[in-house]
Amino acid sequence: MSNDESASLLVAIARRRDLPSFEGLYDRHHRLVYGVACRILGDGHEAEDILQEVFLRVWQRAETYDPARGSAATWLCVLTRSRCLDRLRQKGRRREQSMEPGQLEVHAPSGRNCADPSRDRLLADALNRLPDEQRAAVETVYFKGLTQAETAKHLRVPLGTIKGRLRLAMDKLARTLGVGRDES
Amino acid sequence: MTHEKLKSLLPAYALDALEGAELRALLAHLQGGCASCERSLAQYRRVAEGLLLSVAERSPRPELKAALMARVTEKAPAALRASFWTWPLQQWRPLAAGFAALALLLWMWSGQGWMLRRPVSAPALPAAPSPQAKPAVEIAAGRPGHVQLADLNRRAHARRSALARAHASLPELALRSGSLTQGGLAVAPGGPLAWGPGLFTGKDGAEIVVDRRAVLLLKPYTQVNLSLQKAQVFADLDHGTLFTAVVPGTAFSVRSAGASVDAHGTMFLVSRVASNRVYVCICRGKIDVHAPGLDHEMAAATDAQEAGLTLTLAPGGAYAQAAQAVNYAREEEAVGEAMKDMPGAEPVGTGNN
Repeated sequence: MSNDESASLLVAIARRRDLPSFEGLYDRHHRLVYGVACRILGDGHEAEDILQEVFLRVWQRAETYDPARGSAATWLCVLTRSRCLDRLRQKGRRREQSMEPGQLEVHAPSGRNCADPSRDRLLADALNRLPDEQRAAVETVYFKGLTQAETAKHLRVPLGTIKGRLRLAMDKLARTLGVGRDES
Repeated sequence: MTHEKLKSLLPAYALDALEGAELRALLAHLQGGCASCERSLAQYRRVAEGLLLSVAERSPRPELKAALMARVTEKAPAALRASFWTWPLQQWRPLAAGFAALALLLWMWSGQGWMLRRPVSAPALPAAPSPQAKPAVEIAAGRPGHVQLADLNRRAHARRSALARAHASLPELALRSGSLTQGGLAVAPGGPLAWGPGLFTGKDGAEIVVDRRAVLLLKPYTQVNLSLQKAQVFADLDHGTLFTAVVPGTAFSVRSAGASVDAHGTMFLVSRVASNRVYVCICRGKIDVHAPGLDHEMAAATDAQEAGLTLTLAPGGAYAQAAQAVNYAREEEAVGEAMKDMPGAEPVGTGNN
């Protein structure tokens, strides 16, 4: 299983600072980490910095990964998002991405990074089916690190409307995951 | 706030988009142990994580990998040395055999030279090692046919002794109640905990006692790492909520997401509720909060003066304000019970301060 292999690599890094395991983990996940960083920062050069920061952190603190809390790919993505948002805040900016709201770039996962490829494929399809305004709300909140109030201001809609859009979107996506779980 | 209203806040909370009074109300509700909301939150969190996994992959410049590996290997020697000393016995055998063969060759070569050059009556002296040809591990020639890995053994022994001395002087760390894991391994209730690398993950209200000077109450799924630096204890909060009580005079800090909370004989709560927010609440005494460059949800901040990058929250009125938002009486009672036998600890009453 892909996730088991990645978790094993992380264990080897944590216990022995094993370079081949580290290289294997990088080969397996660096495109996803870089993709997430590009998506949030909208700048390839900064995303490369984040890519290095994230994997250096993995090398130094692999023991902080807890398999009970999610797959290695998820852990790397969460770490990447956190680093990217810190970077944005340090620069005191809420950068306008080159991509317009409502154009959430999703793809059908290849399965290499996913603990459950079929479930993530369902989620990707569900994201694509969301109404544009709901996708824009989710994307602005999660990929720009804005609060609901900030998102309302950014998208120029009332706060209550943003709250409603987020709830509707997340409920739809959660139901999709629920269906995936029942089917598996 | 009704249960339905609180439940409707979960999607935004999972996306790290909640703030202010809504965030405080939901946190208090979750800390109260609502199983229904916990289940829903877990599902919304998986959705949020799925958003990241669904982002299109992109390829960075190939040369980045070489640069990264170079940076990592720069740091590798120390780590490799550490693992070298801790190799299990079976991994020493081939290495020892190699050293033995090398030493035998050296001895045969140098021994023949001595036999050719030295007078018969002269005492046998070991050849001085050439600075240019000095091996990584010094091999001392002893009696013919014997090889002493003297330096290797001495250094290993010295290192073990240093570790033993260091451990002997470390403050006692124990799990008082509840359950947790350290580095993914379960710790027996009531048992001692080890200092060093290894994240503590609380399961059901675990209480960690630090040297009879501080009590740390970990909310479920809270992750924290404890370390010592110059006699000061640092709790690095990775995720979750940590309720801390310290005996006056104890140097203790909680750090999370770039923020640092220094205690001066207090009870306080620090919660990393989202990747970009740290929530701090004073329950007793005074704490200093250093929070450069980050957004913070400050409970009881009405009389705090935000001056530059440092917030100092005063006791008294601060706690009264906090009590209106979130009541931590239950946590205070729990840690108060744990601290009642600690020398210098202030008794915990039912009122404020």
